[in-house]
Amino acid sequence: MLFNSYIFIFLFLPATLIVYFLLNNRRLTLASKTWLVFASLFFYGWWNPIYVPLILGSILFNYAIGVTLSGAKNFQSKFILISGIAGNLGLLAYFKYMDFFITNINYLTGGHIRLLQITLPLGISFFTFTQIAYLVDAYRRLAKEYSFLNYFLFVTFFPHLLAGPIIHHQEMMPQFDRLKNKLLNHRNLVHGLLLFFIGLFKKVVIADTLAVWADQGFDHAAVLNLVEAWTVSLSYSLQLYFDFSGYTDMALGSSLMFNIRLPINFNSPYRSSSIQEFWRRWHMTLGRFVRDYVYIPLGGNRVPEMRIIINLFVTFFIIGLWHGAGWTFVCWGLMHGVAIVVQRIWGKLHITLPRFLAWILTFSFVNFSWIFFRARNFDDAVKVVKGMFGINGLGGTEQIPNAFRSLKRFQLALKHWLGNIDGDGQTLTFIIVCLILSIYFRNSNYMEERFSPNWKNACILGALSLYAMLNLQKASQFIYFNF
Amino acid sequence: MRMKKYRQFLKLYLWITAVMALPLLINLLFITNAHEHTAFREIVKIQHTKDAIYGTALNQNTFAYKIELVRFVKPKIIALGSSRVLELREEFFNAPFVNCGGAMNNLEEGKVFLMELFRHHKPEVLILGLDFWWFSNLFNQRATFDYHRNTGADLTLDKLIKPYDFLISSKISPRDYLQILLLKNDKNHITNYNNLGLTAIKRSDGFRKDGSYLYASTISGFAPEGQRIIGFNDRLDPKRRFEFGTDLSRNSLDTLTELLKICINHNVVPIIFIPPVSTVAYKRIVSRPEKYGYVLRFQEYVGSLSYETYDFHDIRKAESTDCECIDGFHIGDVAYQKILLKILKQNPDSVLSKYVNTGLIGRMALEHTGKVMTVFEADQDKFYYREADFLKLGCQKN
Repeated sequence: MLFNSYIFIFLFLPATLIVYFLLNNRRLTLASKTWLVFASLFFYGWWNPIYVPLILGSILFNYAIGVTLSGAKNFQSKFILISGIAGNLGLLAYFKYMDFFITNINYLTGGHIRLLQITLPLGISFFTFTQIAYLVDAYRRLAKEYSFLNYFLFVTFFPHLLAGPIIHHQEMMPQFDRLKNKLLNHRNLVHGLLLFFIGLFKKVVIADTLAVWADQGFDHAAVLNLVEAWTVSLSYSLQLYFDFSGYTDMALGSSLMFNIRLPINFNSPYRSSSIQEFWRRWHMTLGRFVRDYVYIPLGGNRVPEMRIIINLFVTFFIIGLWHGAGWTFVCWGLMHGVAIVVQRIWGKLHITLPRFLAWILTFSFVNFSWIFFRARNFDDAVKVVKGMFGINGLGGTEQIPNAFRSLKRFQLALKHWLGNIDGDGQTLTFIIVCLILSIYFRNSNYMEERFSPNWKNACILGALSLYAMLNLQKASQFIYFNF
Repeated sequence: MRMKKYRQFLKLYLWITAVMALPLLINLLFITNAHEHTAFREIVKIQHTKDAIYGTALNQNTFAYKIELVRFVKPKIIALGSSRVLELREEFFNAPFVNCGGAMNNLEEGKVFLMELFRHHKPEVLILGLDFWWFSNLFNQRATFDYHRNTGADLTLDKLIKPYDFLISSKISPRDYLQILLLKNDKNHITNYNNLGLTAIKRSDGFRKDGSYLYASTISGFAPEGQRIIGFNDRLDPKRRFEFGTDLSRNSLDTLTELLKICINHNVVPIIFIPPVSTVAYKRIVSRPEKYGYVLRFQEYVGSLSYETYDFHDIRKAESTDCECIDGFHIGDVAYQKILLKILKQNPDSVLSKYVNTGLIGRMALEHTGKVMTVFEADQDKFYYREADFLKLGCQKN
């Protein structure tokens, strides 16, 4: 089920909330948790019930491994942990990477092994990573809660199930059991609504508008001129941010209505003035996961310099591959790996760039790297890159003298310049406004923290929610559902 | 204390949202009453129950509407093409017929339409009208069609605001608005039809239940003049419908081949024709071979296809005149009757011979010659006005 659908907003969410708090009010806490688990499975199965047994199997397997780990002796536990992780990665490999693997084998050997063409189960990357983290925590004796229902709820809790944030066992379990969290909290309800509708607005009003130009440019246009290529790349960079951070806001908001606070995932990443800072602000829970469960176990910063560099590459290779089964994703991950290494070496030179210049460099790099992330293949990526370097022309130089005579003429010229991507006179204005919003405006977490219940905010929230809900019709999927 | 404040805020928020939503809810009632918020599937059912005209101002998706029409009627014959084939009517045939004109705005869309159509129903015959500009190498053949997703019942902010926009721009009067809102009025002063959709309610312009188009306001002389004189102007618009070209588009020819292959694979017989333009437009095209050289090559190409093909680019070949045109590139149903008669005369063995109501259309074409629209016996009481000389060509319409 999509957060940005009428069925979720008007039926699923209110019904789940009402029944959950009614059961808690009658002190039926076990029933309320069970209800939340069933509601979450219903939410998951709405898209395709065929994958419900898959998530159930994954939960049972990991729970069994977790419990075994808790009672195992040191020498046994390492083996159990490795088996558990291998089981999870095997599941992920089969459903997500098998066709990629076969394609590469066919390419290298000239063979014709048939592709399995398996539909990627929703959220598999997220629930697999969440559970790997749980197993490692159990191995480290950090996961102390072993109630099956609690574990079930921890994995399936619908706000984070499909596209994160990636959560930790120890940050969720105490919240599920805290007594005061079982009562309807009007403050959390209001703050949750605020976050939810900010997220919905980001998704349906901003991201879906930008998607038109990005999709047209990447998937349909045969060539792109300079203006079009920059419009396409910026549209996608902004679409991805508003889409994914919008989703996260909705996840955090709906979870908060149940008095459960999920970890934040975005902190105005496009303000970053270095790649390292970018990764501290972008998809923060994934960054935390790879730091804690990949980079540090590989040795972290406490190994020789060359090893650190290799570890960084391995980490970003995994990040790239996690996002999708394709070489374009690997390329994107490695680009970030290179950037981090360059930044590390630069840091040792003790030369500080002016902040604005550092920001320009960082944003340009991130924007450029998203091209490889978005493109279906390298040809599409090269098409956009060529356009950005003006190889296919500037986009109507013959119109330039006339274009600046009046605003109307300029808008007409823009329509002509952006013809291949369905752009018009408003496109660039929209992109500039979105860029300003993503860089200079307070982000949703800040707004939520400092929210005060007054007339003005009631009007703003009313207008925001109404406008967002009226734009729901398109009901497009979130980009991160594909990962 | 703090919780109380939040409880009050929640109430306030709900009240404010409700107040903000009220004007939109009023418009929701308005568009619901006007059938602008009704799924195409439902529209088709109502049309067939009430013999209603469907002219929407808010749901531009002829593609999906025509698919629903085919699913409902299950015709043996369909006509497919742009709006230029829209005057082929069910009365011309003795077997179930649906006009899918307007669902194909270029060859790629036609291909997509047929693939979708054949998932639901396979007719016996497809009458395919080809617009010459689709074959210009300078024609931009779009391959994505976002509007296909519109079901007719979609609720968007734009749709909810639009009635106020229409009021401000006087496209509908406050009286029209209130009559639809409060009385569900679906009648107008031009015809006696039941009307679905704002354009139909206002002017009876819209699709008949067979998918053909009724230009009621134009024919009665109520439509704004500017719209109707395209092709009769001093110049043809090379950006829209009369595109220039230096050669035939290879891509278009390939798409046509694929489209015809889809028909053959589904055992549907295609009959291909080139619809006419007005004599005025035709002469202008012929007089500019440097800009329209591809048109002749296109005609030759169509003639060389190994299917039943007919070229009526020059309206005089159908023994029709500009008086039977709606504008420079749309002809009326009288001209279409003459085209069918001409086809059967040229080729008595045509697949169409067993489907055409030759007797009826022969009589009607004669009776209505010089007019755009035929008024069949069953529709005699539907029209309050006679056909006007709306092109002001001095045509005798009596």
